[in-house]
Amino acid sequence: MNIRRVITGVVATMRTIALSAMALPALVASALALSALAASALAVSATAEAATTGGAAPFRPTDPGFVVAELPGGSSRARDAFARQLELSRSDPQLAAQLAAALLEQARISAQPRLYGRAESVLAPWIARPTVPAPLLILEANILQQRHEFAAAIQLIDRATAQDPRSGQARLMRANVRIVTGDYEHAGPDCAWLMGSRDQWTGSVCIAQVLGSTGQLQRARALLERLMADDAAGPSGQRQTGQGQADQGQTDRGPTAEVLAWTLSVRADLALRAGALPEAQDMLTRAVALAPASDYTRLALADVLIARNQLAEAVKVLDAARPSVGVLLRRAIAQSRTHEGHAQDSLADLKERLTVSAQRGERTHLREETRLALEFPHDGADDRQAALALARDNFNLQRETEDIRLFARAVVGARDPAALATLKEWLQHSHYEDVVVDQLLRSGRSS
Amino acid sequence: MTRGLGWFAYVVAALCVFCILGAPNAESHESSTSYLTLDARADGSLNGSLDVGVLDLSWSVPLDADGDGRVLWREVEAAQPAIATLVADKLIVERGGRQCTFHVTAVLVTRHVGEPYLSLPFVGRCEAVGLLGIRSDLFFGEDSGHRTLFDVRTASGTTAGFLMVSAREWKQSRAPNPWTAFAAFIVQGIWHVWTGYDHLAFLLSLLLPCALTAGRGAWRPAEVPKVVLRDLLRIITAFTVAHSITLGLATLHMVSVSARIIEPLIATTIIIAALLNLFPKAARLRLPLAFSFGLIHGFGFALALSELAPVRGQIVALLAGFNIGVELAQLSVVLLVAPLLVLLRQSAVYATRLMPAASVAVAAAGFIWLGARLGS
Repeated sequence: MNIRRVITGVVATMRTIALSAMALPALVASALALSALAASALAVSATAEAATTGGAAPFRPTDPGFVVAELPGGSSRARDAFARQLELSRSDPQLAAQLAAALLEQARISAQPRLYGRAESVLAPWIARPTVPAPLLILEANILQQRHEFAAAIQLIDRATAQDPRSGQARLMRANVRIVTGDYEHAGPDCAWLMGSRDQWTGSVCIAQVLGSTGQLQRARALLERLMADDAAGPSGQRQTGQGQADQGQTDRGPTAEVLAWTLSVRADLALRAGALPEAQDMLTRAVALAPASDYTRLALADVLIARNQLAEAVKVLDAARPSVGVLLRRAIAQSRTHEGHAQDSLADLKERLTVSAQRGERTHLREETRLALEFPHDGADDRQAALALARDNFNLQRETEDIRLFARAVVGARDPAALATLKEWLQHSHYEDVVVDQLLRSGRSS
Repeated sequence: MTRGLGWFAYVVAALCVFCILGAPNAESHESSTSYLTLDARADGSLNGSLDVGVLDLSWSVPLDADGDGRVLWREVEAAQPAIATLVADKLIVERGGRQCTFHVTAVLVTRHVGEPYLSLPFVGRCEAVGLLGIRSDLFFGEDSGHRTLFDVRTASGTTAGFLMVSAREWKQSRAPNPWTAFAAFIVQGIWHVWTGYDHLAFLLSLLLPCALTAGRGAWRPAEVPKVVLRDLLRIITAFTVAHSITLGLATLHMVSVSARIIEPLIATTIIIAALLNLFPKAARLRLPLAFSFGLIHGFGFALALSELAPVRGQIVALLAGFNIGVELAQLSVVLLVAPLLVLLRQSAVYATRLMPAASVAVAAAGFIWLGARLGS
């Protein structure tokens, strides 16, 4: 029979195999050799598809006139001038301060974060010294708080105020960093100091921010309303648009346009927490007009417009801003709600930027990451937990209106009792008021 | 300190309230970032690319020769030697304590996060083995916010990270001692067999008849212990060779079979092997069965291994360790069972009652597992 013969053959072969490898170690060795061979083949095939980190496929232009890049103010002469000044600033603290200040101002106007890095390079050799002039400390602190390194920024400002207790800018910066991080208790004394200085306006806005977050929201709103009403009634005359000659926010002719815009954006924030959306929108619209260079007010205005479902208007406001992470996020939100435009494009761009930022080891976009996770969930308990983790990290880093709302949203979404307790405890302790947070917590309880 | 129009005025100019308030506006994606990929192979070859922002590069190499604020491709091409020199000077790659040699082979245009970049592929040579190190001094002097994001690949795996102004160097950390991982996987292999009742059941059903020889349609005791041992060794060997083959193939992703197929198949092999013990005439099938069923069990081992070692680094050591562990566990079973079989073979009860009863019990267990695995 054929089958039988086949089986006999197989058995015979097996017997040969078995007899030729009677010892287990020998067998194992041969199995290993086989494995090693296969593994090395695998390694080669894996390296063939070498990793590339994002980016477009590199190409070689055929046209010699192909424009590779536009250099904003980056002609070779500007570059050489910077290099020369950088060199000179190594031995001249005054020049270092001028150069860093100019770069920071340019960074603010052109919204080029790259320039913060350049300014820091100017300051670096000075900051490394045991004693640093107060102005340089304040400049460095400004860079640190831009990077959300709030504790480090506070440390530098403490050093600066120890040297120069009369520096209003240091006080204002310290108060603001503390307000941003929710440390209202310690912000108070600096605000009070400003109130007692020549610059009562800045002090008032400072105090209003503290009051508004510690159970006196209406009083804070009234304070700023009165402040601006008095100014409008007074002989303020023409607004200044620059602040070059002003060592404080207020001049003899009243607050500068930018300080007024700042005041309006604080008032809008307080109004939002009281639930007065139309009022907030009006104030932010005025703030944008007063300080058109500030994308910060544009983002705030876009948020109000999104909240009021005026999505086309929101997109229009965002179009006027530089396409930053904040702008892309809000545009994606508005586009996804109108089903117009390309929400997916904005999202892809946004995610790429967030990825690079994370790879750079930064945490300046925690707020945007949190909002992204909450606005565009993939439906799943894991996502809600991930969003909560982000919101918690962000809440631990900064506590402005949006941060607290995002935390509340994430807490309610994930139904996490521990996080809810953390939030409630903080709200009770600080007497923080926000109608949106209250509403979120109520909806969380009822569902 | 003098106030007024001194240098303090400049400082204050920059510290307008919006700078302070502007923390939420602090964008970093346009901060200066370079992207470095490296692939150092075991043959000593080095391949990589460095993508640098045109804006960053323009501060170190004159890219806008005519000063019109635009960088044209012909200007880039003219600057290629200077770019290559800059990279060679400021980027250091070393392996095994020795500096690698490399050169930029081309300049290409690309984009990252919407910004113009130049991609600089390079090739070179390193020591074939040893720990890799990178050091870059590119752009940190002019821009303290610069980061060089790297993605390094060697035979032992890939690593990603970044260099920054205060940490311009990166050194590959000593790979975990391969022997530690190896030993750990030997233990895992042993453990898998000892606690994996299905493999034990299968081994048992293969080993039970080894004390007997089939003659004239009935089991008879093997005449001498040597025969028992030789029989044991052949069966085990066939099983081992077979499962080593499929374990290797499956772990290296050359063959892949779903757990949903393999798990019920393993249960089936147990049933067949156990039931065949009831038919002395099928005795000659035991060796080919041990081999072919071994192939199936190998996939089962691979599934267990893939759960233990989801990463592919050091796969050879892990595979070898796991396999050796499996063999050691098998050997321990054989050493335990063999003396018993040698002792029991003369007993009449063994051939007529004990062996068939044990086989039926194993087959029954196989049926239960089969039902459970098909049902799940």
